[in-house]
Amino acid sequence: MPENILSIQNLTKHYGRIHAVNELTLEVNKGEVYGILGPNGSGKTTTLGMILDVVNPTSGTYSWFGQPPSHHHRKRIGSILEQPLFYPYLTPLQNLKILSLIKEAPSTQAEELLKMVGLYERRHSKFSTFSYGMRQRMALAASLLCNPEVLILDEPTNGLDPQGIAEVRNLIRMTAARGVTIILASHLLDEVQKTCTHVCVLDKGKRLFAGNVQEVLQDTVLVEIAAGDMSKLQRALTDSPLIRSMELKQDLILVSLAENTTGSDLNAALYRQGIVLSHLVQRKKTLENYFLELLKSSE
Amino acid sequence: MIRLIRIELKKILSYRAFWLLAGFYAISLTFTLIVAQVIINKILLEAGKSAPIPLLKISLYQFPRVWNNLTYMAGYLNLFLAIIVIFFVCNEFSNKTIRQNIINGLSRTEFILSKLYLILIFSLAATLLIFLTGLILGLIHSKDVDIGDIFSNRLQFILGYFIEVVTYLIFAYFIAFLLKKTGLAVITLLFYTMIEQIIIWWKIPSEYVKLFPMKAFGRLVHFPKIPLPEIDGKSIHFQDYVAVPDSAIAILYAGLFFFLIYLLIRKRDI
Repeated sequence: MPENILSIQNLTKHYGRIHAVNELTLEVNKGEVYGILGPNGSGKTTTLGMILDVVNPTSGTYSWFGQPPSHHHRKRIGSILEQPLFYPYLTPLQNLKILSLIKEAPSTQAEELLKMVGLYERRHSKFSTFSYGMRQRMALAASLLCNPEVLILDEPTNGLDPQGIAEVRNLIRMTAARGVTIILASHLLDEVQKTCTHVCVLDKGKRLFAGNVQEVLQDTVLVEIAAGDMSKLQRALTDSPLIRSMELKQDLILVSLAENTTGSDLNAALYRQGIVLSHLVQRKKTLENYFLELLKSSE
Repeated sequence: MIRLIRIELKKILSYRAFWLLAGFYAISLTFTLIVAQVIINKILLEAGKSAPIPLLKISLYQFPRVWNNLTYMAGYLNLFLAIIVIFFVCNEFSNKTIRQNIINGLSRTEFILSKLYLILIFSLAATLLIFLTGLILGLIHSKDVDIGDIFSNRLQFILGYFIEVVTYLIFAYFIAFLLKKTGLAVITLLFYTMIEQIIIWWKIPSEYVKLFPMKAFGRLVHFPKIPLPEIDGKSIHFQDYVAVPDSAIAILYAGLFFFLIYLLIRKRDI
């Protein structure tokens, strides 16, 4: 039995008539890197706000570490929500000291963390003098103070340069390797695909999908096919048990294969029906295809 | 409690604006208390020249009357303390650090308590400053100092002043928490004070006046008793004590406003 870290049950938030989050249910277990994926305005930040007690849910419940919510749990969670928030007139060290007093844990790693994110030289400068990228790095250092058991990152690479993005992803991997559970909200598919073990896809506050990233990617195989007689091919595919769905492109058909089916299985079956394929290419399944498929089917 | 106070002190002690504001308040306060007597006597001297009866020079600093005189005068500077409180509360909203504090592990109740403790510290510091100023001025200006005069029951004014300033600052805290913006909150506080004054002056029978918030906070220390000659055989009545019912009303109001702050932070998204 995996150890449950976060459990969300039917969490809902309405702003007037807008349903920012709608009956969301999900489970995060220890050691997972859990991606919450969705376009802008899909309810990611609102969801994180609710489980961190800064947004009051309209209905639904959540629990941390298998217990009802309490502010003591948040002391074990490092979080960055939206933008980095610090006292602008204080230095990084002073800001981290306040943080450690709130978390009731020693701030002994403060200098080490500032070194890690490259802000050690600026440890005595006021936060207000920092550039956007430096603020993001500062937030990252703050989220790692006091050895959190869970790390919550909301769009952590937003506004960073390519080097910064690579560093953040590396940091996420290193942190995950230490056994820290990570919850990452992002609208970047690539980011989720590269860093996450599990994913939940949100759109308009609704959960479209939740599961293991590798399973999503292995689950279905996409192939492009074409034949001399396209209409005959299309008819043959319509009733075929070998495929899950198909999509007509200009001069070829994009087919998503059923479970445990390969491109050659499909080719053999079509050949038996007298259809000779002139084109068969297996496409690498990416989360992006899957994501777009999901969004399409939800409309 | 100690942890919350440490957090609050960390937030302000390295902030230059805090030292500017606090320094300005402390200097204005001691300066006002020290020059008040000189100015009043100058006015009395001028007025005495044309008055039918000679006006006596007054001494503000004689024990034990010094406590009533100084705490009354200090009350005029409470607005400045209220502005400092509003500034620090609204800062948490404009920097959104209230959000980050709660995300990091402070409970909502702990957050509003931490600011309440800050108010208690400000009030204690102001009261202590007045006490020390009074003690020094009194020792300089009193002949034949009797220890019983210094620590007489007139010291109730020091306690009265403390209650007055704490309750008034909690009211300012409530306005700041409600409106979240420094400028707006300060203007509202001033505007409310004015409106209340107008309503009272216009319609309210005098026995109910003390039930109004600003009156409740502002009237714990009354105008000090001064040796005025009797006019038409009647002397003007001075309340030269801090009334317990008045204090109770002020404390009840402060409790009510703090409860409203509690409801606000419970109900609001932060």
